[in-house]
Amino acid sequence: MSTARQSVQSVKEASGSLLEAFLAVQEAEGYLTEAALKAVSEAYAIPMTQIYETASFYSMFRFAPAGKTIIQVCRNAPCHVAGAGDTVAALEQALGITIGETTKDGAFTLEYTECIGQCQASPSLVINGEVHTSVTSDKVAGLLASLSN
Amino acid sequence: MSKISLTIDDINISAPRGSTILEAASLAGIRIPTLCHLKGQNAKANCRICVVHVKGMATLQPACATKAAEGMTVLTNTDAIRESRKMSLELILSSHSWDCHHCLRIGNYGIEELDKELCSFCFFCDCVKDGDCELQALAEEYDIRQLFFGWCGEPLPLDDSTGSVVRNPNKCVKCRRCIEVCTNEQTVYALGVEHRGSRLQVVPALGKSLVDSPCVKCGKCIDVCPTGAIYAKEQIDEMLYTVRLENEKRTVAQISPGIRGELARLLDMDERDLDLKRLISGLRKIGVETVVSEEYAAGAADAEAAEKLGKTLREKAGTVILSNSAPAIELINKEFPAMEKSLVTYPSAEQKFGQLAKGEWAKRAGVRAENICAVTLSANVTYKAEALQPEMRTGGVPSVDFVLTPQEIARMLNKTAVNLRKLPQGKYDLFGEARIPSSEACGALLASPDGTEGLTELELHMDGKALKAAVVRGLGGVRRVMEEIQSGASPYQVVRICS
Amino acid sequence: MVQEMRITLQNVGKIDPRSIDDYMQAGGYQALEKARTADPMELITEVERSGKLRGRGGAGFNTGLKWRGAAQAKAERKYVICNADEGEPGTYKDRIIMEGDPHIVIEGMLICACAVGAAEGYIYCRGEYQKANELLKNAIRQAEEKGLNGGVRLQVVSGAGSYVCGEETALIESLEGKRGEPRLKPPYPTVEGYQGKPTVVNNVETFAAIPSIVEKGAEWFQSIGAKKYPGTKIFTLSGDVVNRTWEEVPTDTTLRDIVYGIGGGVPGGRRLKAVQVGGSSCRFITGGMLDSAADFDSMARLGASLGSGSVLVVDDSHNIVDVLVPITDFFAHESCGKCVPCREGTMRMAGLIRDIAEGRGDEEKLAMIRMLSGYMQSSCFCPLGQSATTAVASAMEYFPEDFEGKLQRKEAAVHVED
Repeated sequence: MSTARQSVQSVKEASGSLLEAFLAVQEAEGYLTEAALKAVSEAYAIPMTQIYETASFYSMFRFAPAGKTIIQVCRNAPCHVAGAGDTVAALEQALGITIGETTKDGAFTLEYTECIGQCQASPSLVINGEVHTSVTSDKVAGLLASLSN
Repeated sequence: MSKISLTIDDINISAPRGSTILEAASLAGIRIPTLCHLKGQNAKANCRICVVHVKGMATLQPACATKAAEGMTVLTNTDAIRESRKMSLELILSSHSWDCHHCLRIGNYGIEELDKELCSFCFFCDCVKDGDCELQALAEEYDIRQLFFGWCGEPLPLDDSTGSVVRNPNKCVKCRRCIEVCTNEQTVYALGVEHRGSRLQVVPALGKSLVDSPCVKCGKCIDVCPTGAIYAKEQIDEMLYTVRLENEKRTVAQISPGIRGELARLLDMDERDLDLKRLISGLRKIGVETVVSEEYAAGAADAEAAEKLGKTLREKAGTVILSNSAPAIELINKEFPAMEKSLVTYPSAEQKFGQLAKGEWAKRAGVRAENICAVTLSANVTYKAEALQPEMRTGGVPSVDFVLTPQEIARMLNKTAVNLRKLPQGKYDLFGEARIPSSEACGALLASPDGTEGLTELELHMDGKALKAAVVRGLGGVRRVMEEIQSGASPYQVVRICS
Repeated sequence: MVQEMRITLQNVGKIDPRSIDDYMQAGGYQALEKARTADPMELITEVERSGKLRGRGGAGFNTGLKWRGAAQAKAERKYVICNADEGEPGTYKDRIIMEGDPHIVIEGMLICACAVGAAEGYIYCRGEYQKANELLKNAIRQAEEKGLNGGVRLQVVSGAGSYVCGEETALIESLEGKRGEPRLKPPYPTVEGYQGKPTVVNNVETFAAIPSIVEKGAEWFQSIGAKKYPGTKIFTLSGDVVNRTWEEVPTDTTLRDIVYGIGGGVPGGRRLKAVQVGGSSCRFITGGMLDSAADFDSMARLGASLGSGSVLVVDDSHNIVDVLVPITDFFAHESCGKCVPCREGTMRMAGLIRDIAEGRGDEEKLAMIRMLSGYMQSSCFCPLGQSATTAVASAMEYFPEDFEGKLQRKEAAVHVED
C-alpha cells in the first residue's frame, strides 16, 4: 500500500495532476483498488465520490485485475477497413475467449481500444502498453508465439 | 441593476443583465418546459428539454444555462423544437422503467388500458411518484404513447440497503439534481456518477450500496428527484395491515405540523385550506385509535435536552454540541469521531413520542409495549431512518413502528378513499394533562427550526452564566462548524444543530 | 506531381528529437527570441495577418483572433494549452510532430505565452502516446535548463483515454482533475478557461507552424496554399490505399493528388468507393469530388470537412454500412454521457447500424436512423454529439444501395463514380 501512497505523493509534488496520480497508482497496483483510490482521495483532499466519478470516466483506468498480458485491438474505421475484424477473430480463436474476456488461467486479456494513432500501419494493437502494427490475421499466430517467449 | 432587452417568441422583454433565457422568458409569462433544472441549483443543461432556438446559432441552446444577451431573438416552441423535445423524452423513457401504473394483482397495463375507477381502490404499487412525476407530466404534455426503442440490457437492482432511502436506478434520468444537493448543499458527498456514455449511472462511490456510503439519510435527494428514482421506502401497507388486522395491537399516531405544506401540495390543496385536524378524523376512519399532536412529546424532548445540556456544561469544558437530528448526528459520528464526548443528543419529537407511547402511556393504559403500534406522520424520511436504528427501542421493541412521509400520507389517503376536504375536524387525544414547560433558559436555543438555513447566534443563560451559543440549520453548515470546534477555534460554548 | 512542403514537419526525420542542440542548430528558438523583443499586439497581428492561420485541430478558428481575445482579457493569470489529445480516428499527424520534433511545439507555445501574457502552460497529451509524453517532458526540461522558457512554466499532463477531451472545454475540465464533460460556450476559454482564467487552447500542428510564421512573416505564410486557408496541412492516409503514409502539403493541394499522388491510389485492382476526410466525425465523399482542393473552405463547399486532415480511403469491397459499424461504436463508447441526445442517441444509433449491417434491418429502422441523425445534429450539447451522425447521414445520401442491399440481404450494389 505504501507504494501507491508514494506514487501519489510524487505525482502530487511533480505535476499535481489527478489523472497522472491515478495512472501512477494503477502502474503500482495493476488496477485502481479501493485502497489506491482512498490514497488519492486523502492526498488530494477530494471526496471519494468525486475521485470515483473522475476515475471511472476514463478508459485507461481499470477497477479489476486484468490478465498478465493485455492485448488491445483497435476497432475504429481505419483499422476495420484494413481487416481488424479478422485479426480479432484470429485472436479469439487462438486464445479461446471472446473479446472483452480474460483467459481462465489469467494469462491473457483481450479487449478493444479506440484509435491509437497508428493508422499508417493498421491493423494496430497495443500489448501491455507496447504498440504492434500491421497485425493482419495471418500474423496472429506468430505474434502470440513471440509473446510466450 | 442594468437591464438588457431581447425578444422571445416575438415578445420584447427587458431582463436584468445576467439572466438566463429561461429566467427572462418567465418574466413575460412564457413557460419553457424543463426537467434537470432546479431553482437554486447550478444549471446542468443535460436533459435538453428546455432547448430553444437562438437566431444565428445553428444548434439548439439550453434556455436554463444560456445567458440572455442584448438583442437576442429567441423562439421557444417551434415545430422543430417540439420534435426535439419529444425525441429527448422518448429516448429518456426508453431507458426508464415506465411503470407509472403497475398493478401486481391484475398484471402489467399500458396507460391507455387502465380503468381509472378500479385503480383508485387498488392498494398495490403504482410507482411512488405516480401523479407527482415530472417525467410523467412531460410525457403526457408531449403525448408520448409508444416507444420505438426497447429497454437495453438487464434491469438494475434496487438499492434499499438503508431501509429508508431507496434508489431505483431504472428510473433515473441522470439529471444529477441529487448529486448537486448531496454535494453542494448537504456536503455529505454520498452520490456521484460513474462511467460515461450510456453506461453513465448515478451511484454512491465505487457503486456501493447506500448503506455503505457516507449517506446519512437526510432525504434531500428524495426531495429533489423528479422521478421515482430515489424515494422514501413506503410502509403504508404494513401499517394498514397492522391497524386493520392485528386486533391485539393498539395504534397510536402523532401528527407533526411540518407535514402540512408538502401534504397540501400533494393533495392539490391550498395550504391554508388544509386543516390537520381533519387528518385526525381521517386516521380514525382508517382505524387508528389514538391520535396525538406533537406538542407533548416535543416539550418532553426539549426538557430532556435542557437537563442533559446543563449537566454536560457543568461537567465539561469546551464547546458542547447539542442535536436531535439523526443525519447530523450520523455525520458527526462518522466524520468527527473524536468529538464524541462533546456531543449531547436528545430524542426527536418522533422518538420521544414512541418512548412515551410504549412507556408511560402504555403502562397507564395497561397495554404491553409490544402491543402498541406507534406511527408518526412526519415531514421527512430522516425520522424513518432514525426509527430503524437499533438503539431506538422502548420496552424491548422499536419505539416507533412506522413513519409516514407526506407522500405516503397522500397515497394512503387516496388508496383508502379518505377525502380530507369532506371530513370534519377531529380532536386530539392527550398523552398527559399538562404540557411540560421547556426550560426557560433553553427556550430560544431549542425553538422550532422555522428559519432558513445557516447559522444564527444567540445568548444562553444557564446557572447564572451568559453563554455564547449558535443554532446551525441545515447539514451544509455542520462540517464547517465541526471543523471549527475540533480545531478549538469555535467562539461558541453551545452549538445546536438541527437539520 | 504533388509538392510536399514541410513547415511543421521541417525537422522531422532530420534531427534527434532528444537533442535540443540539434533543434537549435536547425534554427530553433530564434523565432522565440524575435518574439520576445516584439510588441505582443504586433506579434498577434502578424499571426492574424498570416492569412489567418486557422486552427489545425479541426475547428479551423482564426488563431490570431483567439490570441487577441486572451491578450485583451484582464486577469492576474493566463494560460496556454496545447491540445495534444489527438483522438480522431485516422489521425496521427500530431504524434508524428511530437515524436519527431517536440521542441517546435514548445517554441510555438512559448511564443504564444509571450503574446498573450501567460506565465503557465500545459500540454495535454493523450495517455496512449507514452513516447510523445516522455519526449515532450524531456524537451521542456532541456529548454528550462537553457533558460529559454523565460519564466514560463510548461508542463505535460497525460490524458487517460477519452476522445471527448479533445474538445477544448472538456480538455480544460479534464486538466482541472474532473470528468471530461464539455462546458457551455459562451463564455469562451479565451475569456473564462482553465481555472476560470483566460486560456488559449491550440492544436499541436497549429503551434508547430508558429515559429516559422514569426520568423518568415505573415506575407510568406499567406503566399502558400489556398487564399482563405493558407499555409500547409499534414494529411494522414489510411485504409485501402497503396501508401498508408503522411505528408505535409500546401492547402490548395487537391484530394486527388493526396489519394492518388501521395497515396498511390487503391491497391489490389479494386476501385475507390469513398473517402472520409477529417475522421469518423466527418462526411464520406465520393470519387467524383476528389478534384476539390483540400483546404477548409473548399471542403465546406463540398458539404464536407477538412477536420483533422485524416484521409481514410474505402474501396469497393466494402459495404459502407459495415464501415459505419466501427464509427457508430466509437461514438457510443466516447460519449461523455452528460446530455440525453448523445448519451442515448449514440447508443441507439450504434445498435441500429449494427442491426442493418447484420441483416436485421428494415425501413422503419432506416427512418429512425434519419430522425436520430437530424435530432442529434441540432440538439446535442457539444460538437461530439452534433457530429456523431455526420458519417451516417452522408453514407445514406451517397450509398443508398448499400443500405437497401443489406435490407434485402444481397450483395450491395456497388456505387462508384469516376
